[in-house]
Amino acid sequence: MRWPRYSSLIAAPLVACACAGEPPVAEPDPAAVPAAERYGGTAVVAGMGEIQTMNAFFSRDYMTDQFQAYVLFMTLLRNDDELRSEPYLARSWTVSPDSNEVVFELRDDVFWHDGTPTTAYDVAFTFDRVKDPAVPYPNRSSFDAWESAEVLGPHTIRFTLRPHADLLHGWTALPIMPRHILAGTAPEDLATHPFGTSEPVGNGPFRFVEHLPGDRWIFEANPDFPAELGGRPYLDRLVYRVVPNETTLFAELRSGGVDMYVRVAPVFVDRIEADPDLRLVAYPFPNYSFIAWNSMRPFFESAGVRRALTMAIDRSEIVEVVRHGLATPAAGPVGAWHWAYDSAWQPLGHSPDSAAAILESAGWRDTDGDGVRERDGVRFSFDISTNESRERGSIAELVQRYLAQVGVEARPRIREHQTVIADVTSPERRYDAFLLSWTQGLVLDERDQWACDRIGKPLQFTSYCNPELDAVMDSIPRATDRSAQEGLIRRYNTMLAADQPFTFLYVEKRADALRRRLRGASPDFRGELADVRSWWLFQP
Amino acid sequence: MLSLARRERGRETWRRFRRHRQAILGLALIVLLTGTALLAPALAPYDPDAQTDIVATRYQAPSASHPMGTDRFGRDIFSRVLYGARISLSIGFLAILIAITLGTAIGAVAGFFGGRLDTVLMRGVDLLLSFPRLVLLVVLVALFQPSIALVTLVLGLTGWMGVSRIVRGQVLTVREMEFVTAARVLGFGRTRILARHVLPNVLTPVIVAATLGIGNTILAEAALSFLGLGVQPPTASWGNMVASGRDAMLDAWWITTFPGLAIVFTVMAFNLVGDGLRDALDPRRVA
Amino acid sequence: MIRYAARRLLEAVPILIGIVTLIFLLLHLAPGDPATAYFNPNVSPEIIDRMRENLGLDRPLHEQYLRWLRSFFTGDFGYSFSQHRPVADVIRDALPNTLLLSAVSLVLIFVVGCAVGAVQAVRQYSALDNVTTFVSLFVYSMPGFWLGLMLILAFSSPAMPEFLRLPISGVTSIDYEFMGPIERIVDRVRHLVLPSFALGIASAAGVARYMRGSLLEVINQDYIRTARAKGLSERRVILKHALRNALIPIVSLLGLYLPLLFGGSVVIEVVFSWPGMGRALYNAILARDYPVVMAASFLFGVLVLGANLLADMLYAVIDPRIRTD
Repeated sequence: MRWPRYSSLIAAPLVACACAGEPPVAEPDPAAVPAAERYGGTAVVAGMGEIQTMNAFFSRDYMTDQFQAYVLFMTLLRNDDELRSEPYLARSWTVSPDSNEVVFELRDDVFWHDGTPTTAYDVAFTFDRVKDPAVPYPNRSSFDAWESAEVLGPHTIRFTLRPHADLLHGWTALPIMPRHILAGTAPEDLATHPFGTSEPVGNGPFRFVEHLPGDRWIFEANPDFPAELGGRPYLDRLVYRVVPNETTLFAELRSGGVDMYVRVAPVFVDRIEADPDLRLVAYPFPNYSFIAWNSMRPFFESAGVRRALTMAIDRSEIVEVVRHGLATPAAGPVGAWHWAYDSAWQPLGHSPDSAAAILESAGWRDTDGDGVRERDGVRFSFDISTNESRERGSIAELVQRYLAQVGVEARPRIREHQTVIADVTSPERRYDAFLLSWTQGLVLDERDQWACDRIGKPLQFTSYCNPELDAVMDSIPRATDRSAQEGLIRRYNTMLAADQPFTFLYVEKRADALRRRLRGASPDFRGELADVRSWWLFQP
Repeated sequence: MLSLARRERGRETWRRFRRHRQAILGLALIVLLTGTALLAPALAPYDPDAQTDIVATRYQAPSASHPMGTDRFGRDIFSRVLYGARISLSIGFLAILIAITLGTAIGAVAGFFGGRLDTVLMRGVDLLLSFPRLVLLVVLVALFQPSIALVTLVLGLTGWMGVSRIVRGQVLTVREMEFVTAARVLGFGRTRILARHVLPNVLTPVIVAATLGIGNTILAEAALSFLGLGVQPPTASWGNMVASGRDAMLDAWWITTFPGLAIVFTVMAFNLVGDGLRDALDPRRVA
Repeated sequence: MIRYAARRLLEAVPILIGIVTLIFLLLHLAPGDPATAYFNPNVSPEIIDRMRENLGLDRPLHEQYLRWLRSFFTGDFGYSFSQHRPVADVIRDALPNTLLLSAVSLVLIFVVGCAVGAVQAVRQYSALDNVTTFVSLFVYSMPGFWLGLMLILAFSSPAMPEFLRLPISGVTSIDYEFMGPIERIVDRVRHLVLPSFALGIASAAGVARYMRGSLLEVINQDYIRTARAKGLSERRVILKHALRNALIPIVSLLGLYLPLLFGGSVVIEVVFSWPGMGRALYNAILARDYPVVMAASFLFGVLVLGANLLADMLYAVIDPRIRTD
């Protein structure tokens, strides 16, 4: 089971590798097909997860975010491939010299799919709802420093705010919602408004056709999409299908029923690369797997012991066995996808001998010869909880074996997903160690996880506390430019790497499988659908 | 007197069962499977959970050193199938034991004592039969770790309702028979009559249902494993071996095929024996 | 008969109330709630508390239960937490898919099962009998998801000739909207072939075994011997006399299979990505989407009890010896 994800579609200026091979020799050459002849056809995107709503206030996961931001609606800004904000619904913007005012100038040629023009009032409405405590918009923290909005004209809006780093990033992830449809609904009733599931009206490159829940969403080209932004998409239709079983999904891809299999299961990688009709695109992705150590347990109090546990675990082998290479061992919470990532960082090396020596000197010795260390009569023996995902079940098995080699007994405890969450977030912290993965936002404000004053709150489940780290984390959002931030984020990573409140296992490489007839699609860290307007189908 | 007649009948049943060639084949298979399960440690060429140098040893096709190949951790599938037999068969046997004990007890009490007790018990059975088993399964798995014991218990506790209906029907017939009336006239206690005179005479369909039920339980465990609710790895059950190898069916067919065949032949064997028993125990039936 | 049906329906009411009460308690016994589904480093705990409040999860248990019960009996099934739409809509979308698949599987089970069983009985001990008995037992003994996945891989294989290709997932093709009425029917039927086969074949094998036994029993009875002795053709004897009587006990099997199928099979629905009740219920339990689980369980109970009643009444109609009152 994957973590639900909220979030920012911005990632960082990192260059994703499109690891695709050369297209097969096909005549005519697809590159030679003139733009005018690329129009038409239906492309099918399929994934294991359901997309529940098009209402941006209740977005639940990564694919949902993408369909909202890139397909049906428009955001004020979007990211270029080096993650600089570029105009989208906003034609231009000005930031006041002291960074406490931003004025957006909107395009005047964007219309809701029912013909109503998109205006600054829609932006103001969306902002009001985002700030409204009755609306549980998951990404609200991006707008914490944004205080008020004032519509200056039909296409001009001014915001006042407190200066902070990554000033505009919230606007690249928030699709603007139609005021003329939703304003009449009380904020607390928005969640049940049929707009989200059966009658969404957008303003993006595709418009809504039909939603067959549990099966598919159908969209068709919006002929009125502004020419300056590329105009009508090449595709006539775009369909998202839910196929909740990976083997079925792969079979559909192979037989042509699906053009893009999103977040492909690693086991199919070799087969996809060997198939002349398919190509694989893999890129670093802000999702990492970790083992959290409950520092209230005597085993995990000391950073030294936690480091020893990490060193005992062969993370390269885990990456190979579980992900078939589609991941990289993590040096800390800041992955290779992040702009502040330092390529000189080395993850702790795999060294059972050093690990054993550290445990020995920390007083953990196997005195009774049962293969498990003890200290003060306590055996080094604990449970590793995880949910019933096969990937993490496998990791738990491997970890059990690695730790046994250094005289530590870890018992995998595989539980139903919600049960693990309930145990971990409970104030009593009913767990020893747990293994999960999650997706991060671009702006690494992770104080809820690590800060001393959040101990007792649901997300601070390790009860780890380091006042020095707190100071660093507090100053990151106050830094107003990237050069000031870089050093702080790097320190943040280094300190967590040294203390290992988590064992950071690996950072995922997300991989998508595409049929070769689908052209113009180059998935990267911004998502599979960022360039959906220029997808086209090649028919030799 | 009664027990003599019973022994006589038993001998007659065995004679008829023996003539049933397919049932004998099934029985032989079950004996063989149970034997291998018991002797698994002696027969298995490898430790079923051993993983060494995974990347070099995984996904190997069947060969002389690994007659059924290796799985994605490089573990020997033949050894895992042998050890898996222990888990799958014990889940099958124990869950059915729970189901028939509960089902017989409740069905017999309901049928024998009748009246309001009967109504209450049978409405309870109706309720459970029309209760979505899936909800119960997920909640139990959420509350407790999905261990072998839990899976066995869950399958046992959700499988007894059919048995109780059969038993109740039988008891209703038997309790009106002359020897029961005779026992009553002789002043025997009701519990004693139920245990000594009624129950032994209603067990025939229970035995048949139990035999057929073992196979179904093994299939149910496989379905649970598919949903991630079955016996958890690294412990090998046939069900979770098929379920966890399913994504590699195209490239490493052997991972699912051998445990899958083990399930198929086991379920077949229990069904053959069940059919044979039914025919042998019911003289009116023709094979 | 009508009085009998009415009494049975009346008896169903406490059972159904029992079911929903039990489900409610079970669900709240399980750790987690709909708001824990929002657990994520990017979501602050305050927003999760806010959600809990919006969903009424901060109220005492009995209050939540009574509120649900009250609205349920006024026909308001509530809103799905995870799908953001009325529960009635969730069921309206999923139920027809399940019923369609079940109905087709049911026909397959009984038609194929009876036909195979009858042939086996007539040709008892022939090679045909032995082979079909073995094959049907083999299929019966396979885990359903394994059989389903093998079908999917076989029918999507590049080696499969084009005319044998069948849709491997979903209820309709992507271009369904653009099809004419006849094409649409053909498309739906084609999509039904593999899932209904995978769902029904094991039960069909069961029916075949039962039919074989039942027909053999009838064939050996006196009136069939009489019919033969009168010089009627074997074909006529079997079709007119034996088959009809052999079918009577088969009807009782209907009561067994109907409820199983109506509940929807999660495994088959997941494997063939069929958007039916089984998957809706399963996802709802995992997401702790209480209103959907409650309504779906209630419906499941209604269908099972209804199917049992239907089977009993059918049985009474066919076999006059059974009295219903």
